[in-house]
Amino acid sequence: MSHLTKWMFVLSVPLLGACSASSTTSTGGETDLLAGSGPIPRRSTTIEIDGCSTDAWQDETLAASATRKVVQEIILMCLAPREDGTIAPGDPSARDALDATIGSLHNLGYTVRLGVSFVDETGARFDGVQTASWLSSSGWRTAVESAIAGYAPDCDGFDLDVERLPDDARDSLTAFVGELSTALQPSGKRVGIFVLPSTQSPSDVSGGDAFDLPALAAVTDRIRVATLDFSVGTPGPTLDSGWAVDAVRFAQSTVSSAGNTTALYDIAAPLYGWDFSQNTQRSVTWLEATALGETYGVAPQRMPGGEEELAYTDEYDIKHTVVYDDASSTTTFLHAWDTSTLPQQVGVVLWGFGAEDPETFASIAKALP
Amino acid sequence: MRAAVALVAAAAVVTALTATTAARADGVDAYFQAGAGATMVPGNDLHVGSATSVGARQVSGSLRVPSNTFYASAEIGFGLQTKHVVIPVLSLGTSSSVGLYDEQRSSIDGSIAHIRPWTGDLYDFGFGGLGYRTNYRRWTFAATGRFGVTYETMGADAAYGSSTYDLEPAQWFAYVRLDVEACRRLDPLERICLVASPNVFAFDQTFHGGMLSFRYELGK
Repeated sequence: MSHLTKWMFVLSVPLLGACSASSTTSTGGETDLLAGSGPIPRRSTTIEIDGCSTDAWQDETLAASATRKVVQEIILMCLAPREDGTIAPGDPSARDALDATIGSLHNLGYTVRLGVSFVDETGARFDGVQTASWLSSSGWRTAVESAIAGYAPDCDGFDLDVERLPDDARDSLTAFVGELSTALQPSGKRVGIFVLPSTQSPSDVSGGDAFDLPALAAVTDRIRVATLDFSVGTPGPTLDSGWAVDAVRFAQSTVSSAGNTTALYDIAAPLYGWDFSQNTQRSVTWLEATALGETYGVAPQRMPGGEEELAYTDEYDIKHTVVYDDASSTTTFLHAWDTSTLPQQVGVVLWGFGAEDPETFASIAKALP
Repeated sequence: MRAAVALVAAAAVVTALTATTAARADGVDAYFQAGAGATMVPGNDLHVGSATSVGARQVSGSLRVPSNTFYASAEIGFGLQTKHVVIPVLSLGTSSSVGLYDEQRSSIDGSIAHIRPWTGDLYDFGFGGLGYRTNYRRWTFAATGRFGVTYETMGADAAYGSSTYDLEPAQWFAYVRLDVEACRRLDPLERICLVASPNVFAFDQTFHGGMLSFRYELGK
């Protein structure tokens, strides 16, 4: 009514009676203005796959024309250094299977790099203190660098995923990456690294100062800023698109202020979600998240940043909040990262391939120029 | 959207009341008027000022406003006129959006933003122009070019994590409009006019959007 009051005040006479029927309001819906704002910028796009192989679902998606239009590079997060300086998997059968996977992905036209994940023997847990101890040993570094350099001759490069390092591991991490880069030179392969998403110095992320960005940028072909898991412990989105932009900008400014203006960067977007409950959280796929909604009769709500959120109480009376991305939210992020926000040279890593909404790649492909 | 068009059409036929002083055929007279109608505003960019806090971020920049937002408008003004010349001197107008709209998802500086078209407001300040008018039997025809500035605001917010933070997007735009009107004398004192006011230049665009109104005039 405030609008009508204003009109009447100005006119002093009730001229706009007909307009009173048109009290302006929301329909309650949402229209994606971004979708009409032009195509998504074409960026170098990489998908991360947890593991050394692909399943039938992933194979089908990778073979689809939409995926091949969107994605150029695949990182198989497969390798793990061991305490004795070897690299797992080490048995011949596993290596043969990995070579076959790399070959089939090459046949589909993808570049294939191997991720080196510094997890412990469980394969799922990062122990940064243990990793820091290993990295501080020059003998261990030399052995692992040699093992990586000799691994999977058909792959196109390596990317390092080092997490939960203490800040004082900075020098040894820098030394390791530099030495690995040197060790790879004869084969012409390059190394990239995932870095924590700091937005300031000293870092606002635990362990963020373990990454000497200027030094790492000098010896890697790409700094991949792991702008993931924005919400930890309390329910919230896996990615905030503005925060991710700030993290990439911080990496860029830190590196360029050291004189390196040609370094390449990636921003990351999740294809998975989280189920938060009782101060714990576990990752969920899109299919699992939507199935939970159907099982407990809960419809998802769109969060402010575009993600889907649903809350349910399980049969043990435990409350859960599930936050996950879908084709719409991922496409929205890619629209929001326009070239006036991030240079076109900034690539995208879509993390957790296989967990995505089946419409994701078709949706992105449709929005590309 | 269909509802918005229908409502704006309804607004367009709302009668505007205009009271003018008599214009003597042999001199210059001042005139005063008030009018109302419907305005269509094309998509444009509003500015969000520097250092607007969105969670831990500071954002600034342009926020795209959806195309074809409809407003109900009211305007008062005065000017000078002779038998054939019209000189608008000053006008003040205000408009509020009408219709039913979806919230629009957009972005600013990488953050996801939401625009609420139903909260849009326009404030017009006209300060000059020149027109020509002529009579033909019971009809008067006029074409007047006017210029001024428009201040546009619209409600919006931006997301940071699970929260939203209000933005205050606004922008000044220069405009040049062409008022083309046809008035028919009903009796010696009353006239009814149809006024079409296309934007020649407004909202940083040319020939897009404008105002349509009916006007009822009192005067010799």
